[in-house]
Amino acid sequence: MSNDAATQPAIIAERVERRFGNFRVLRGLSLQVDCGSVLALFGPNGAGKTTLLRMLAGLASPNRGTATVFGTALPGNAKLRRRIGVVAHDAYVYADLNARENLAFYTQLYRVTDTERAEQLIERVGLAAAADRAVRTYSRGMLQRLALARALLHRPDLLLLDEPFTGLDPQGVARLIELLAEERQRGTTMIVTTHDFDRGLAVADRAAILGGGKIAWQSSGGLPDADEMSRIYATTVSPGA
Amino acid sequence: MLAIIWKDIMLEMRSRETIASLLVFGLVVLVVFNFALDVTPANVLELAPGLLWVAIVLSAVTGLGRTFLIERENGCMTGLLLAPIERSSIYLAKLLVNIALLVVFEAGLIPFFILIYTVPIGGNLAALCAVVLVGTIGLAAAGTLFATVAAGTRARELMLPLIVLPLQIPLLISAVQATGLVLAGHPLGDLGNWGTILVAFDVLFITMGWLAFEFISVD
Repeated sequence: MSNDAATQPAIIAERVERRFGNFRVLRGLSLQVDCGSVLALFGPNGAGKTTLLRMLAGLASPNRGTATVFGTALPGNAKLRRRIGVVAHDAYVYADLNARENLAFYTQLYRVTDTERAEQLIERVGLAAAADRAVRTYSRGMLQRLALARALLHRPDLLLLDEPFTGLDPQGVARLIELLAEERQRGTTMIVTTHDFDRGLAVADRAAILGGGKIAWQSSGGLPDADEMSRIYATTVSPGA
Repeated sequence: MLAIIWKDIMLEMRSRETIASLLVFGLVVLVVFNFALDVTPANVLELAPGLLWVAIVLSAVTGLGRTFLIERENGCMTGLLLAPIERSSIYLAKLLVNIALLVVFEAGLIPFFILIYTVPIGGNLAALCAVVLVGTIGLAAAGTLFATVAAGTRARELMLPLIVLPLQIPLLISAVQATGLVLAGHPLGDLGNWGTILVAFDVLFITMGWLAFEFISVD
């Protein structure tokens, strides 16, 4: 984690609006995430969770409002992108390359100097036995594991995880929770979007609900348990929101 | 940038899809025109330059989009955009890969073109190659830029030729005229305005691609 970590929030979004055509996905969203904090972000389909993460990753600009990540206004620059890791619906890996070749490519792209890092991550995510097979032959869960290895390769300060548990078997989920706990210990700031209250709350120290294009609820102090979270969610998010 | 070039070349070496489709398409065009037109020693210098460039341009337009299509699978383009590199260097890497693919394709196409139309190349092979290379850089520069735009559309295979072909008309006319001059035995210094237009087209589209890539690739 960088030296600025303790002094300023990792993410500050103020009245952020993001439109697709005439449709406003984010409608004046304000959010602050402290350095080293792990935010579990819940919300119905179409609430704007993926849009928010894409924006924080520097893939889209706010149409209105301001958003900064580590003090840099979005969409940011190459220096900021070096500090961000993303796990999304797509794995961002080449189907005709194997896991080792894909990670070797990203090692060069991110100028990772630790030559053992890719191999260690392949081991950690449980892909050692399949590391020389073309990614085209991988299952959804294996792709998700490789995506996690890719996102962690450069030891990011901010990890954005969009429904990271999707497609993982129970063993994969356990490994992911373990890896995220390690990252949390390392001081990595994380946002995890999920529909699974148990898993989301297991890795987080803060929770929020995105509804109507805004933060409709966020935890203060301790985290609720999954049952309580479910009740809060039901009262916060109207059906079809 | 080198990592992207290396990765693209490795993927192409494994599949050989782009080179194969370029070559097949280019050779078929030359063969069909050989039967359709009565090319004789008397008119070869009038017809051959146009036939060569029709084969190159049509093949290039079908093949140029592929370097961005491989980035669509598993969202790899987003992976590149997330990387801590200047985004315009993605354009440059793709451009260099496209130029390399087209040069390999032309290395197969030009000898076939000379043989099938019995083109009197004389001592001007180097000049012909120079004209083809400068024209190819322009083709690739415009094609790579608009392949980025087309890759994000639903009818991408249709969109690329629709956008690129009209834009390439000045390049195509200049390339045909310049090729005609070198086949007639003129040195490169005699190309005049045709050579200037070719070089200007290259500079214009490389600069435009370099400057515009970030804006057209990010929401």
